[in-house]
Amino acid sequence: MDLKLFLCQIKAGIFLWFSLYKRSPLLVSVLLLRPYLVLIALFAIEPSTNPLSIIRNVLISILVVSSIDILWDVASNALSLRFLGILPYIISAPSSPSLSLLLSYLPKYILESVLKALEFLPLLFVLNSAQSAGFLLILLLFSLVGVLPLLGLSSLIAYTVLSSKEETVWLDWLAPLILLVSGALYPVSLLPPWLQLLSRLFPTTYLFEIIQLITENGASAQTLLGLAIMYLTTSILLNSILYLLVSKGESELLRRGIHL
Amino acid sequence: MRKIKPLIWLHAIRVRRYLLSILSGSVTDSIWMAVFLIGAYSSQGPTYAREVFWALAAWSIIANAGWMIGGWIDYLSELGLLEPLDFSGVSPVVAAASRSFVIAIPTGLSSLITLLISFQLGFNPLEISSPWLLALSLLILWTQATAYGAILASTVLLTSVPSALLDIAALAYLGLLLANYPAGNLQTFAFLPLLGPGYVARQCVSGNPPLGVFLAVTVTTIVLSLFAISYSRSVEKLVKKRAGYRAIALH
Repeated sequence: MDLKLFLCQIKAGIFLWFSLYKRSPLLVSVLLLRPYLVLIALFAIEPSTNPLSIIRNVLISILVVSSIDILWDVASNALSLRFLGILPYIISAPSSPSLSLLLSYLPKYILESVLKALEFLPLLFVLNSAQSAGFLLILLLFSLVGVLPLLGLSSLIAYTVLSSKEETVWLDWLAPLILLVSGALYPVSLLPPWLQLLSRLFPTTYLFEIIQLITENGASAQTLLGLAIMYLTTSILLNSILYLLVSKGESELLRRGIHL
Repeated sequence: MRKIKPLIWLHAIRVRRYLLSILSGSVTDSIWMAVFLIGAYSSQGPTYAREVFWALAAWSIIANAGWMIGGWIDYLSELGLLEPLDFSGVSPVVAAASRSFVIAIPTGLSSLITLLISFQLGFNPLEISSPWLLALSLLILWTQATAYGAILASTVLLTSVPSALLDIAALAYLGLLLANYPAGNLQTFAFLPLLGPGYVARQCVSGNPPLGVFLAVTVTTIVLSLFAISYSRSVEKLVKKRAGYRAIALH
């Protein structure tokens, strides 16, 4: 794919989402409210006023919302395009349909990730003024790149949903399942042994372990580096396998046609 | 009734046709319910976990009402079915709200799956002090949830905001319902729309709520239902005056 085409599609994506937000300012407020509501739910499960524990829950809230969004948005966007009758135009675009779907989604992901991180700025300063700037950077970084490795899975979900004759993203149960297996809400050690083994395959497991370590003040640089390497390795491996499956699914779908 | 019967028939057929979507929704709900139930059980023990189980069942009713009733307007809008419905004399809000009885399927299935998980964890959520009052409070909640779904469906028509808004209410509801509340103030809390019957259901698990709270939730249910009817009618009038329905972000 040439750079000009790539940039054109990103530009189209930016225009699409800015138009949507401009038309529905209420939607932006709702988007901003969601991580705070997850934070309240986490606080309801385990009430704690320790600043580091709250910061950990803030990070988890952002990543929980982002994981649900990333697994849901690409597929639900594909379904919307199918309902609106626009999908044939996407299919006939110069780049592959899967790439078009992802490139039109990426601007939304980046914009919402930055907003999600920034909305916690006041809370961070109230909690810990000395380290709040550092935590804000961590928040921005995690919000932007944390759940990106799930993009491959979201494409696969989109193709599975398009190839079925259903009206909803019927694989949406994967989001809470992945969060549970990755130890987003409870330690992985509480899970049965076979699930603990499965959790090692998900990059998100290492992501939540990194969060746990950096908010406990006891992380050595070596441990963090090891986890970061595992996060990158599993991300590359998982997405390579999923890329092959998505390519196969895409050709099959184009050959067979899409149900309405 | 002449108009309601075909709508109920329509939704019954759709349940069969889109069974995978219904089953998947039930699995999604039950995983979320299990996540919160395991947390409640491990942090505060079986008595609280029993209350949380019924609070989660109540949440499932609200979440599905938001998604199935309010969210259906998005679907109708994307398929361009709002105007044909209107031409045939059926209000889109009534068409969506008649989906209310379908809520029983994902709520029932997800509660059943979560019940099995509770048994695995080692506690029995069916050990309830006032089972009939609990059933009554959930029934009242279901009525309020239908009214709430109709209000959200009308709001989607009015504002063109996608049904993501509905998830917000369900999320807020979950946090507020799971949080501890002073049981002595139940009489006042019972007046809160949606939350009131949820708190009463929680109270029924380990105690016997005074009958006065049912009067409070009934009053709220009547007010909420009347508001839903009048709000949806005025929204539909306003939308028609405004030049018709708008698909999200396309105008």
